[in-house]
Amino acid sequence: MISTKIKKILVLTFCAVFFVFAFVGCGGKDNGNKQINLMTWGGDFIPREIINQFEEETGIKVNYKEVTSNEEMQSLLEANPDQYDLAVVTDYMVDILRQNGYLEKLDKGKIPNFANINPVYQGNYYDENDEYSIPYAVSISFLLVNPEGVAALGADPITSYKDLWQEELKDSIVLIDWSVEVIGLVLKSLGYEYNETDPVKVAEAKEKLFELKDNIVRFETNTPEDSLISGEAVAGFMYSNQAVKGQAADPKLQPVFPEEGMPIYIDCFVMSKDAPNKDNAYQFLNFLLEPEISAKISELTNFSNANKAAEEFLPEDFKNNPMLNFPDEVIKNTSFYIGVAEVYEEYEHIYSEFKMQF
Amino acid sequence: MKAKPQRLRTFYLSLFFVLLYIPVLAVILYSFNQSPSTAQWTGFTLDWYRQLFRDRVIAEVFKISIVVAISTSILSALLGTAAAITTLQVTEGMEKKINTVMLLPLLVPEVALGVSLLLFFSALKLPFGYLTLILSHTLFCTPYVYIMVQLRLKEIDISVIEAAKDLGAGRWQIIKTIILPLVAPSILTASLLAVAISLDDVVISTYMAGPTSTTLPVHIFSMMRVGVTPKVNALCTLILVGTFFIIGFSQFISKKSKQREEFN
Repeated sequence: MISTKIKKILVLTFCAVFFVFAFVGCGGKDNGNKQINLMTWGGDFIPREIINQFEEETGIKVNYKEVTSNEEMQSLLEANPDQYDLAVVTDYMVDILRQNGYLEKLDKGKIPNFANINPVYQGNYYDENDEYSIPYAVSISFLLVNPEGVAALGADPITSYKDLWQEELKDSIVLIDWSVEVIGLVLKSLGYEYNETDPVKVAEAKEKLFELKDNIVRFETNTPEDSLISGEAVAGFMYSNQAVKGQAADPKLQPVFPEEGMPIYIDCFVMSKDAPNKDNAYQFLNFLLEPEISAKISELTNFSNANKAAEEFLPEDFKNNPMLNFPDEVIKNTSFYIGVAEVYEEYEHIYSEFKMQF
Repeated sequence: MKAKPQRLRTFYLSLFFVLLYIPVLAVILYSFNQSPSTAQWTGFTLDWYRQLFRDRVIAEVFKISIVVAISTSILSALLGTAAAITTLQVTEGMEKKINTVMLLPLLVPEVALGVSLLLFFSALKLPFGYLTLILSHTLFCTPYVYIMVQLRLKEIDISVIEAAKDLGAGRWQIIKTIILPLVAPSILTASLLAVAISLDDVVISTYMAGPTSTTLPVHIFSMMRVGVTPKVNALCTLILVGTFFIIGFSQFISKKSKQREEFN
């Protein structure tokens, strides 16, 4: 039997709990419907400076929820579609959300600046008719090379993935530490496409990958450019924003866009089907696509943007840097990792076997 | 000959601590590096600390994290202590059952807990924000308080309580005048632990935070897409200093209470 005293403690505890509830309940109220709930990567992925400007001009408050993965955004959006207006997700997630029926078909009449988008970034597999998504940030992966270092080792200049297999490049290559990227690179060097499932071709890629073993000095996902800056490596396969940082620290490092093709990632704005503040969200989207605003965002984030009209407002050094302002012919030579889930297990298997040798 | 195992022990211990703390030292060192890259040391600077203090977003998410951590620690201290004291009054079999139920939140993988809480709170139509953050953090912090307080309760000489009963003390009086003062240091250390655990949580917090309430660790992790700046090294350094301070404080308290006991 629980005594009355214990009961009293329990009652007190519950009182305390409800006190906390009441106390927090007051704090979290929103100011009418002059707001937007936005969810995406944190840091300054969408610069606070730009958001503040929008808030001042329109009086609409932007609530910025930061998340760490696409899958998280998916579960949050699917669990509470009426809590979020906008999200910025990576290409493949647009496709998943669209197929699951959580996305609103965008009303282009409310986004006149939609016309500013460079057609080279449109009509992609995840949204063939550009009904659900607006490309916001573009990044690609390519090679960053130290030409002097390559020459000093006695190797031929690097212009394609194939050149990475030169014997002279022993212990001088750094790669992104992810099975899909590494096997993608090997597939491309053999003239195949990403997302290959044909067992014969995958086996061939595996064999080719094992031949690269001696040349790899390091696998590094977050700061591969550091290996080139320190001189440990003379060539690295990395994301564009990392290559930009690398060249900023050491101007002799040069980008190489391999002729076989490169992977591309496009983070896109999407709107929740049950978005509570749709009109405000349209206003925000249109604002972000203003040429000057769009140029300013690129300058602040070092992500290339898909806004053709923004180009004239970009600072000279941004506009003339092919790692930031990708030439159209580079973009035409890129492709997406589609349906990573289907190939993932097999690639991961090969990759872990490969890494065991180190 | 006798000195040998002694030396081996010292060697092992030093190696252990060196391996444990070198990465931590690297963070502190790089927070003073001029270059944003960890590949080169280009000189000493306090710029990252200046930038950190000017960062309004970090200030805001830090405030949210602190409010959540302190509320969580108070709530879980209340719930955990109440549960631990309850186990004094029940049979051994019942105590085992309570133990299992209390420890379950620690055994369930965080992602599973996060997703199920997300679905549960959505079904209840609770607004996501402080409320859901504090509730979910309390869920996994309470077991720690429970364990620590219960361990302390086990050490209490049962005859003291029986003597009190003999002298006509009621249950509430026993709890108030004997049990609570004896377990108070444990409650305090457990609360500090709860603060640390709540501040540390990423997985559950991302699911529980509403549109306006990102916590500090989630903010740091979500920066990966854009690239982490040495500002984060500066922040980590400050957090480390804060953590050492809290741990030192709790050690100090438990030492004090031990001393007092020895005197008695």
